[in-house]
Amino acid sequence: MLAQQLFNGLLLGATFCLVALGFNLVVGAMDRLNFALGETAMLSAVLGALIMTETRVPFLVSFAAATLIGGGVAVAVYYVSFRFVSADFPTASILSSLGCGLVLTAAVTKAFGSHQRSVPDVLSGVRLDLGAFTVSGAQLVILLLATLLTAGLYVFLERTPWGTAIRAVSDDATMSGLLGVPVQRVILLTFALSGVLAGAAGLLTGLAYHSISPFDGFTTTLTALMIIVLGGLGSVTGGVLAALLIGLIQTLTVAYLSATLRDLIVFILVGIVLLVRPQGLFGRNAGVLERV
Amino acid sequence: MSSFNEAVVLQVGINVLLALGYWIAVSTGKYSFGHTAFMAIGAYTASILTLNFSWSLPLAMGAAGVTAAVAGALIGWMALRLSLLYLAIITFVFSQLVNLLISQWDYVDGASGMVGMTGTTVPLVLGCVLLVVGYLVLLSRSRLGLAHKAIREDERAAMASGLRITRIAVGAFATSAAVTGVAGALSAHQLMVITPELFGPHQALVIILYCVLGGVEYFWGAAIGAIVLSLLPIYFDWLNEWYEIVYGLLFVALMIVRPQGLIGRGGDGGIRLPRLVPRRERESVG
Amino acid sequence: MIRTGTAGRVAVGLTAASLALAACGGEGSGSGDGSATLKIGLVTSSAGPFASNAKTMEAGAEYAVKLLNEAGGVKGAKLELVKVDSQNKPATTATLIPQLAAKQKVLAIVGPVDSAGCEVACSTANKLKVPIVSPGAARPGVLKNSRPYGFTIAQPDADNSTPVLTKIIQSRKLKRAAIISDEANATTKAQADLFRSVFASAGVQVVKSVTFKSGDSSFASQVTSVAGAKPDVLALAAGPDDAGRIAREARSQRQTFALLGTGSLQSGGAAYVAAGGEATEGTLAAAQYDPHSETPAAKALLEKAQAATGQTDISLNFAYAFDAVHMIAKAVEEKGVKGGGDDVAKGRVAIQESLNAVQNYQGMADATTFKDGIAQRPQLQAVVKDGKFVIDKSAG
Repeated sequence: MLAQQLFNGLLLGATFCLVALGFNLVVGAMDRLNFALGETAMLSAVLGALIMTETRVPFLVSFAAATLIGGGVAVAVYYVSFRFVSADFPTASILSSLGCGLVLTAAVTKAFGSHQRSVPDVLSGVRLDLGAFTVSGAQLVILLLATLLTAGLYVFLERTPWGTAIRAVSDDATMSGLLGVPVQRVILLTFALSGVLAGAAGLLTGLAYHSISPFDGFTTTLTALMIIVLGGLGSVTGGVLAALLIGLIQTLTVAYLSATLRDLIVFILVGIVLLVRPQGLFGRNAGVLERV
Repeated sequence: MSSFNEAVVLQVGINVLLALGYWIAVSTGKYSFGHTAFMAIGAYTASILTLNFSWSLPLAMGAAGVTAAVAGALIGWMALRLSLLYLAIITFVFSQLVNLLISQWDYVDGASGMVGMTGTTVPLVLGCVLLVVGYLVLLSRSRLGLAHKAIREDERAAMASGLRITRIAVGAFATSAAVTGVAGALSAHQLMVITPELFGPHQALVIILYCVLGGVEYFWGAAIGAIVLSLLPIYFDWLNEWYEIVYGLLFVALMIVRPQGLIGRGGDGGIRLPRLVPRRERESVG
Repeated sequence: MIRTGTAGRVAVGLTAASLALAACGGEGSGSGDGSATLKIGLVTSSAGPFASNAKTMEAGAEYAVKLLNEAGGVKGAKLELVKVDSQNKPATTATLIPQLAAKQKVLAIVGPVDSAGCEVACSTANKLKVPIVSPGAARPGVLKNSRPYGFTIAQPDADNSTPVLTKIIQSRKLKRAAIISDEANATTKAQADLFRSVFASAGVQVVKSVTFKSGDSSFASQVTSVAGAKPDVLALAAGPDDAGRIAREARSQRQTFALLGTGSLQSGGAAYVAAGGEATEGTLAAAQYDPHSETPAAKALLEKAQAATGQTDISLNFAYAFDAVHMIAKAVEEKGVKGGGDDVAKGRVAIQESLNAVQNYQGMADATTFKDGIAQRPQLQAVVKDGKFVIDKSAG
C-alpha cells in the first residue's frame, strides 16, 4: 500500500510540476507573477473536457486543443495585464492578473454553471499490475505526457536559439536587449509557453481528479507559488523536484494523517524554508536570487 | 436612519477600518497576505468575551485589538526582514495556521462557528474610524510618519540615517494588526455569525484590493478604495452573473490607466515599491 | 513630500462625505407607493459553488409567482418578486437583507439556498423581524440565531436520514464500513457523525476513516487507504460534486464496495451523477424529496412544472422554492395581510405566526411540517439507477 501511495504522490507531483514550470518561466523572464495562470489552466481543462465529451475526438486531440487554448489565453493575459501595465508598480500587474482570473472564473460559471465538470476517462481498459502497485490507463497517460512536456521544455531551453534567448532575458533583460535579443518577443514566447504548460496541466489534473471545478484556479496558482518558492524562483530543476516533493507530502499526509493538515504542512514547510534558506531548497546559494 | 442605511454605513465603516489598518503596514512598504488572521483573532477574542464572559463590546474590542497587536508584533518580528513575495507567503501561512487552529477548536464550535453576537452600532464604528483617521493624520505629520516613508523608500538608507528600522516596522505592523483586530470584532458583532471560512484567502485579498485600488501613497486613498469596493456589490447587484466579470475587468482597465491606484501620483515622484524579489541578497533588517 | 495639512483635511472630509453619501444613497423609492402588490424578497447568488443551485431556486420561485399571479394573485393582489444577488459574500448578504426589509419593504424573504448564506441572512432577517424561508439550508443548527422568523424547508440529514440508513444497512447485511469526510466543513462533519452513530447502533464495524478537503483534491490517496481496509460499504460524507469524484476514483481503482450517502447527495439534483458518471450506479442514499411523487397534490404540481420547464426531473431547490413562495402566499391569504403602506411590520408578524403553525403542508415537495422553523420531511430511500436517482418506493 505504501508503494501505491508513493506512486499516487508522484503522479500528483507530475501534474503540479507543469503549472509550476509555467509560472517559473514568467517569473524568470519578467520578474512578475501571473496570478491568472491557475484560471488559465482551469479554462483550458473545462474546454478540453467539453471537446472530449461533445465531439468524441481522441484524447490527444483535445489535449492539444487544451494546450493551444491555454497558450492563447496566456498571451491575451500578457497583453491586458502585463504589456500595457506600468512595470514601476509590481502590485499593478498582480492586481490586474487577479482581475483576469476573476473574469475567467466568472465567465466559466456563467457559461457552464458552478458545478464541477466531469472529465471522461481515457484508456479505461488498461491496467498494469506491477506487483507492489497498479497503474491505470489514465495514470499512465498523465505520467507519460507530463514527463514528455517537462523533458521537451528542458531541451527547448537548453538546446534551441529561442530557449537560449529566454535564458538570456531571465539573466539580464537589459543586457540581452542591448545584445540584440528581441526582448518583447521573447517575453511573449514565455507567456505562450507558460499557457501551454498550464493548459496541459489543467486537463491532466482534471483527468487525475476525474473532474474540474470552476473554482480550482486560485488553488492551482497557490500550489504553483509554493512549489516555485520551495524550489527556488526561476530554477527549472528545483521546480520539478519541489513539485514531486509536494505531491508526495500531500499524498502521504492524506493517507497517514488527515486531509485537513494537507495544505498546512506544505505551507509550514515553505515558511520554514523561507526563513532558513530564502533562496529555496534547491536554489544555488546566491545564484538564483541573482538571476531572478 | 433606516436599517438599510445603517447596514450600509456599518459595512462601509468596517471596511474603511480594515483598509486603514492595512495601510499602516503598507506605509512602511510591507505587504501582508495574512491580515485576515488578525481579523479572525480580533473577531474570536471579542466574541468569546462578549458571549461567554458578558463583557461590553467596547471593552471586548479593546481586548481584541491588544491580542491582535501581540500576534502582529510576533509575526512582524519574525518576517519583516523578508522581501515582498516572501513576506506575503509567510503571512499567508500564518493566516492559514490561525484558520486551522480555530476550525479545530471545539470551545468556539470549530467549523460551525460562533453565533449570536450583537451590538455593533453606527456611532461605535464611526468613532473607531475617526480615531484611526485622527491617528493617521497625526502620524503623517510626525517624525514617525516620515520614518515609515523612509523605510518604504529605501531600508538601507533609512538604517544608515540612524533609524531603528526593526522597531519602527514591527511597531507599525502591530498597530496595523490592532486596527484590523478591532475591525474584525466589529464585523463579528454586525454579522452575528462567524465561521473560520469567513477569514480565508478571499477576505485577505479583498483587504489588499481596498488599499491597492485606492492607491497606497496616502491613507485616504485606501479609505476611498474601501468605500468604492464596499458600495459596488450593494448598488450593482443587479448585474447578477455579469457582476464578477465587470468587477474583474474594472481592475484590468484601472491598472492600465492608473497603475498607482485611484489616488496618488504615478511615475516620477510616486513611491517606489519594493521589488518582488531583491536583485541582490539584502542585508537583513533584523 | 508628505502633504500633511491638505492630506489630513481632505482625508477627513472625504471619509465623512463618502460615509454620508453612502447613508443617503439608500434613500429613495420603494416605500409608500401605496400599491397593493405583495412583495417577496429573493436572495440569490450568482457566484460561488452554489450558483447553479441558486439559479434553480430562482426558477422555482419565479414559476410559483407566475402561477399565483395567473390565478389572480392573493385576494386580488399581485405578487412581486424582489431579487437581490449576494455574490456568495456574507458581508454583502448582511446589507442586502436590510435593503429588502427597509427599502423594498418586502413581507417575507425566500433564500439563500446554502447553509452558510442562510446563517447570515436568517440572523439578519430575524433581527429585523422579517420572515425568511431557505429552500435548501440543511446544516445542523443553521437557525440557531434566527428564531422565530427563520425557516428552512430542508431537513438536516441527521434527523432525516437515520432510520433510512439503518434500514439500508440491515437489508444489505453490511458488516464493515469505511467513512470519507471533510472534517473542516461543518455540514460534512455532521454527516460523518451521523454515519458513525448509525453504524454504531446497527453493529457495523467502522474499519477505516479518511478525510479530504472539499472541492480541490485528488481522491487517489484516500481510496487507496480505504481499499486496504476492505470494507463492504463506503459512506460518503461529502457534497454531491466531491462524492461523485470519490465514486469515480473508487471504481477506477476497481473497488466494488457499495456506496452510501446521506440526503444531501440526492438533494444536489443531478450533480452527483454528473460528476461521478457510471461509477455512481447503484449508490444508495437517504432522501427527503421525490421528484416523481405519487401523492396526488405533489403529482399534479410536478407534472405541471415538468410541462412548463421541459425538464423530466424537477430538482429539489426548484420544488422547495416553489413551496416556500406558496406557503408565504397562503399565510398572506389566511391572515388577510395587505401589501405596502405602514402595515408591513404587522403583516410580517402575521406571516411568521402562520408559518410557525404550518402542519402537513401539501406542496410540490410532498408534506412539510415546521418544527421550530425546521421542516420535518418525508424519509425516503433513493438509489442511482440508469444515471439518475430514483426513489425506491418499495422501501417506503
